[in-house]
Amino acid sequence: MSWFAQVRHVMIKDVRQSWWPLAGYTIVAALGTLYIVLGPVASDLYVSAMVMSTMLGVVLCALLLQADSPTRSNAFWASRPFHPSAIIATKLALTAFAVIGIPAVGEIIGLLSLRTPHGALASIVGGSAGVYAIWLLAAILLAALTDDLRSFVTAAVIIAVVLLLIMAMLPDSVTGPLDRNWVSHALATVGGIGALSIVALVYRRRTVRRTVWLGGFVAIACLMLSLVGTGSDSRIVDRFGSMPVHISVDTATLRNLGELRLTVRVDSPLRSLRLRFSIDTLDIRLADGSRIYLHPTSPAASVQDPALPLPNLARWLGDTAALTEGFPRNSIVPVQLGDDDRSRLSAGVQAVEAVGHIDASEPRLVTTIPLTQGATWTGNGTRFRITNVATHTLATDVTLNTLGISPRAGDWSGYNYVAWNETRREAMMFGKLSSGSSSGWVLVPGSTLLTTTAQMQAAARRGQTFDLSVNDAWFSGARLAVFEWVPRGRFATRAVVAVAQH
Amino acid sequence: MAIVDVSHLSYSYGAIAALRGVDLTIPQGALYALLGPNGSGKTTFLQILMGVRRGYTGGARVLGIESSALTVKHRERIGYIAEGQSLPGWMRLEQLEAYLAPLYPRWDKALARDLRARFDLDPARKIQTLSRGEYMKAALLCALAPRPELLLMDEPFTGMDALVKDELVRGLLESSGTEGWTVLLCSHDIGELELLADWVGFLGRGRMQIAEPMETLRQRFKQVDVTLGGEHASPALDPMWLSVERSGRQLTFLASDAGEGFDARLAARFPNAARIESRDATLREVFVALARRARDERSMEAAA
Repeated sequence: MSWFAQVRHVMIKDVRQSWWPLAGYTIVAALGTLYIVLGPVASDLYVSAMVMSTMLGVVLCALLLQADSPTRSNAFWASRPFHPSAIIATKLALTAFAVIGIPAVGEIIGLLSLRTPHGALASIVGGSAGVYAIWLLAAILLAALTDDLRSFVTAAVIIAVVLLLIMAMLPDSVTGPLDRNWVSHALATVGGIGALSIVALVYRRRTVRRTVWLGGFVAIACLMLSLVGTGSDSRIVDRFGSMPVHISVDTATLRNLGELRLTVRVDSPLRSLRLRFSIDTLDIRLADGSRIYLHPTSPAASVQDPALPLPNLARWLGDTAALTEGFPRNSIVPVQLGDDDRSRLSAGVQAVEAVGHIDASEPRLVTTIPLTQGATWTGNGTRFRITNVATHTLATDVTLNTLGISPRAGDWSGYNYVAWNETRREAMMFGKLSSGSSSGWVLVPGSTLLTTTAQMQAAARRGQTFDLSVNDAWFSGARLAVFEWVPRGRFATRAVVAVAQH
Repeated sequence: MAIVDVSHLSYSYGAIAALRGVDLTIPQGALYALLGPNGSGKTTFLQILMGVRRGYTGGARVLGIESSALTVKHRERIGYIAEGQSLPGWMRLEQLEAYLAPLYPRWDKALARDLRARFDLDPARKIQTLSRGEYMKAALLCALAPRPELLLMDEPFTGMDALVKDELVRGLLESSGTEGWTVLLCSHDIGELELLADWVGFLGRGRMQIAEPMETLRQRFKQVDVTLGGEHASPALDPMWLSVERSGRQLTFLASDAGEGFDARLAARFPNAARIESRDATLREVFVALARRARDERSMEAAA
């Protein structure tokens, strides 16, 4: 029997053997697809189902491999005329075609139903299939090193705990670079080649020595750590200077509030951009020569908001007008310090060096939807559905469901919503009353499907003054305009500020 | 020509030595019985020959090639059955046959059908629903239907009733004769082995204690009963005597060095004996004597 014939022969056997878990897996994937096509509905259930689906995929991989285990001395295939390489090829092919392929097809159907552009679709499906392949390669390696499902699960739990402990013990200087894409690509390559080599070795030698286990652990660790840094698509497009950034540091609040305040202002020549400042590191140089390094997790601070570009707009109504007019401003970014750091400040602060970045994005009108219950728009990988509209005197409340690929879809900071009466050339911003969201994998891990339900209100009130021209007729002639923020780049910023002694 | 040629074969499970310098040659067409107490290394030995266990030292050539380098082509010519071997329990017997048949160029459908009928196996039954005996029969069917040149069998009679055992022994004898199969068989069913084997090897504590044709073994091992004369109170024991037992004037032992002129040597050893009787030892008697000696040696080693 030829090598290829053996691959086909064993594959048919494996499908027959594992048809029941395969069928269950396919059903879960089909339900997930249905959710995306028809959604958003029952999002919590979807999230649980997708986590289960991935776990099922991992277990399915282990089952498929251990059906012809390389390490069990009584394994049926080992005493028969099988090519070990044909067995490995079968398992990898089944993993690719069935375990990854089935949900990937569902993902493609789901993304097509969201009218995702083909380029983005290929990128999303390719990316998530790659991430899932890393998970499954780790599962295949672990299944090859263990005899049965029980020892597989036990080993997986132990390795996960050990990895978490190691990560917790390592300093930030070691774990920090894991965020970088090139590091994660290198780890994935090393881990992938290592995992495949070890599986081939185990199938050939049919014994697992301590050194093989050690190599397996390292390969799994590389594969898992490579997943830490995926997903960041922001690029530094310019460094220091083309966009003047002014940072000043206020240390007056250090002693009493234990808080450092940075004031940031950008003299941007591009008023059409939204600019958001984030601190990456803060280096506080103390008078005694020591330093405090911080990696603040403060949310990004807005330093410039441009006007939303609605065509033929005569005026903005309501109290959100200020947001839409666009102006450079000083933004204050507070940085909290821990107790230990605060006590060290008694030595006095000499200087503060702040390194951060500014994300620039541009508003784009995505669509306009009639302000009526049930109105739906699907496009660009996202579906908006108005589930409720309640118009009161001078205001309207809208409940909007969104479903789409994260990070932009449904993310409040990713979209702006406007009630727009095109005939009257007037518009007013929607303000959020409440919102809830859930996110899950788009059938396979790697890309996130975000479902958001937001209650928002557009009110014709500016301070205590009501615009009486806004009434039921105004709202009935209005549409919901949806704006998204298109990333334009990331600008690195750095400032060293000398601090006068208090 | 030797189908199996093993020299100085050693294998360890960590610190525990399972095989220590085993030498064994199995000529083509031999029906070779490998005996040994539990834990003597028989299963490990067969697994090494089949190439499913590696990491040994020494040589283990099977069909002219080192067992660790056996290729698919070689495995097509070997049948293997082991007590602990797992068959895919989810398959029906007919599915198992269909799965295996394409792998073996010499798979004999008629023989498979014949064996199924002889073993009274239902082809539609799932393997996991078979009784222990039926399971072994199914494993035997899978090992025999490819018409292997070499058949390695580890406890193949487990769970079989006497009738099937008898049929299997007959079948193996016939096939070995007509097909020229070489069979290496480990079993605790010494009665069956005695009928079947023309060569015998005894593995004790990881060492090959004896390896010779059954005929030679029968000539060499004699069960001796001596009734001592009144004045001959305590005869000196010979190191070649095994399983020595004395009760009053009665002395019994298994002589392992019998041969030409054995009776005369006995008579000279016990000149005043009231009675001396010797007969061919059964394989069981040889097995028990050798196993006992191996156990005693192990106890002595442990004590030392």
